[in-house]
Amino acid sequence: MRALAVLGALLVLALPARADDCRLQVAVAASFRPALETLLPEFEAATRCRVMLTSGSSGALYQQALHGAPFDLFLSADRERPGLLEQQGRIVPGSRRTYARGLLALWLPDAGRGSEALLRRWRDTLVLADPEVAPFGVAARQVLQSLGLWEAGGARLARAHNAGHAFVLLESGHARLGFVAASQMVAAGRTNLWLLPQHLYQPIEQQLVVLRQARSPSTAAALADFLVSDGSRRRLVALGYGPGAGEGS
Amino acid sequence: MTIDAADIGALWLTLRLAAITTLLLLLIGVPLAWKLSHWQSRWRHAVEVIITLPLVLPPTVLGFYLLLAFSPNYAPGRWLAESFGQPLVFSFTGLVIASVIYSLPFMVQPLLASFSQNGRRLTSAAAALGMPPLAALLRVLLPASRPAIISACALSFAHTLGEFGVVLMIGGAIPGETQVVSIALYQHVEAMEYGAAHRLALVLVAVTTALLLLARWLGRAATAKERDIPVLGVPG
Repeated sequence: MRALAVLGALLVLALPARADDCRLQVAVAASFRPALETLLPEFEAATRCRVMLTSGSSGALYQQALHGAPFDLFLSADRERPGLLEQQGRIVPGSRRTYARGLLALWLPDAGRGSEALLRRWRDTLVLADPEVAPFGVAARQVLQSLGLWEAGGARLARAHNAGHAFVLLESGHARLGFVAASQMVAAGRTNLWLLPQHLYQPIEQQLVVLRQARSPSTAAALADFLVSDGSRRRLVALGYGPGAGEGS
Repeated sequence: MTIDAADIGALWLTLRLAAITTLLLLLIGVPLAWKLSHWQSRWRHAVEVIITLPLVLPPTVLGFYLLLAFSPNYAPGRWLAESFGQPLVFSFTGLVIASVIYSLPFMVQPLLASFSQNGRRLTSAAAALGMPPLAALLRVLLPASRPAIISACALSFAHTLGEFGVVLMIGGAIPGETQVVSIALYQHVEAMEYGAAHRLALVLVAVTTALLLLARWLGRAATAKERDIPVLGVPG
């Protein structure tokens, strides 16, 4: 009898949830999820569409999209992966656009001013997102390379798996200096940051694509239009993203 | 098939981590399982559940809480760093501690099952023959539990080899210090270096398979030998 009850409970849990009429499945780079969530209510109210989010690393989402995951729209934290999907013929032609530009910031030990000199003389642990894995890591590596500190620097480099993880490591005090995304500092209301001069790294263009397997490509395109609109752009600047994100390359 | 020096370093580091972890777990696991198998209190179940928790928590979540536990912003983390003479995050020592916690159920559960099954019968027989409890553990129960010990060690070792989420959270991917194979593999996959990823995965699988086969073989030898121990032939 008890076994039957347990089995019944399992069956109830295993049943699929009821589907909505208009539903959009969006894959979003984990770092952009909070910003996207602040923009979405306006879109959902206007279109009466529910937007379901899947977030993770851009690399993982790319793999999933490539292998047929049922995403309508993919918001990557870089431009490489949307570009690859385009080359591989997995997107609606012409749908690749830049929706945001990431800004690299240096988490400072205290509210003082950051400088190249501080990076040069730092001998302690320096946190950066893993350049092999994360766009903000690539930018951090470019900064260190620009300053001639990548091979020869005195700091002990500790790699986080993405910018979010780098932020957690710094916030929990495991290191006192590190590269993060400006948007994270804004979201956390922190001011101990130095915005790195943009000539030290390549722009972190974040691009989106409508996937070929999209079930509602027109709604996905509408969301893409909404995200690159002037209104959304202004709000993204307030959230710590760079201005002047143009159309896809 | 070539593997670059960094990957070989990661492989060596991983084997070292798994070996140290398994050894420490053996030292912790045997007394713990022994105590639990004899404990008549109802707290026994609570402790068993706590030991099982690392199985339930997703590894990255476990890693996140270890980050907080080791954090120099709070007293426990400061105390830990002082006791070990170094910060634990971004260090090999930290990985060892995390791995011990992460693989604890894989060591304790098989031992506990074996001790609970044979233990009471064997220890009471030993006591009836006038053996003190510690001697009974060392000279009767442990030899009789050899298959369980070997399989517990094999599981702990293999589990540590494949450990990813916890290391991802607290390691920092520092080559030669915290960049283990699973992290190196992840970096290859994310960087779309599939060739390097396949090669490293192949080596990892080959090494693990060989070690587990060896453990099975040792376990079977132990079981065969165990049949010669007359005390097990006595009906319960």
